[in-house]
Amino acid sequence: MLEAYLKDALVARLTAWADDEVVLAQRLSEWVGHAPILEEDIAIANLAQDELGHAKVWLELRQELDGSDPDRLVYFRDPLEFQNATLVELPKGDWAFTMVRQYLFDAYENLWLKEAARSAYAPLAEAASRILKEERFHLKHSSLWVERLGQGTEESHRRAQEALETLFPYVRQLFQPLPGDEALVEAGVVPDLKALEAPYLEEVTAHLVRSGLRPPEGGYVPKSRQEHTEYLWSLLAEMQSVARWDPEAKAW
Amino acid sequence: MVERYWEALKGVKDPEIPVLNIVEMGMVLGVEAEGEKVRVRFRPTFSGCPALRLIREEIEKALREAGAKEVEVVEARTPWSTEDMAEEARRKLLGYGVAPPLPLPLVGKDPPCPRCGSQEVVLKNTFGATLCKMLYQCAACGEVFEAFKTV
Repeated sequence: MLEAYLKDALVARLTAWADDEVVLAQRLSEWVGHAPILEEDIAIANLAQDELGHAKVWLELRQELDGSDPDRLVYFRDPLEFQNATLVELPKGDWAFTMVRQYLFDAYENLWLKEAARSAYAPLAEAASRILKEERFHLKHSSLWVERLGQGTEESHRRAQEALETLFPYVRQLFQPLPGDEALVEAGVVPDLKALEAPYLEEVTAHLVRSGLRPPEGGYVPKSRQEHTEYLWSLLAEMQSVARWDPEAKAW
Repeated sequence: MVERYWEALKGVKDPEIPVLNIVEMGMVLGVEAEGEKVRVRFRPTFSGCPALRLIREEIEKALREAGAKEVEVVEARTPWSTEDMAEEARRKLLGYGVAPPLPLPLVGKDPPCPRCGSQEVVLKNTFGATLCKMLYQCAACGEVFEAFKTV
């Protein structure tokens, strides 16, 4: 059981994880019907569907803690209440941008989920090990794409490098703790993200360099998950439009 | 009585692989009956499975037809593994043209071609037409086939 004093902190943590997944799923789904080849269209629809499934898992864990309704949270919350990282809300860009972002995010998820699978809070440990099984396939897919783009043609390399220049600083935000994280980490409920940053940078840099890409230094790192770009507004406006238009609908 | 409900659940197919039922897939964790009330614990294979809602409805329908008056379907978080699939399910998959999942722990192997049995296969896509499958092509006979993901 979860100690009462940790409840609010865990609710915030689960929401941040879920919001990353929801927003990324929406960005990925923008490719459906537009991906460069049919197989990738299928793959990206799978990725989007998985991420949405994972958001559902996190929000159901939250529901057990505070009784909140996952659908209300996703479809009726305003942008300023979303706790996603900036990385996932940036517009989808070209294929290189989408795949480099996916790789950077997948590597992060694979890393922290492995730790979360040992959480002292059993429901979280179970959820993490379930999701990790699926995330392995994501990382396999996106890391191959990074390699292919980085070492492909001059054009693909240029685009991948450009994407990396924009995206890399934002990745650092993923490792910034939320205000309540410290207590959760101390209780062994969630992994210490700050401690995972160094191994992450090492692993990712090695793969990028192998792929002929160079991670940039410096760049602006958002200070908290309260910070959003203007892009989140239009993303949510589209994503929430049907639900807001007909809130009483019982089936889609 | 519980046996009867288990039998009824064997009539519920996985909508995405209609040759398999949810019992041999290892999705049903438990069935409890109390008078005319039945409680089923089941777990999805993949967390983003779009068929979940349909499967829940089918479970309810099958159990009502088997005599239950009240059905409660509880979704468990317990991770599902392809190790939980019955041997029979693997044979059916193969007959259906889908390469069955490999035994765990995985040693980085690819599944043999379900058509000619050749080990010379090429992974075309880690993702397939449904969340649980990936796409291969056999280098020996040229067959393009789906393989169940080993999880």
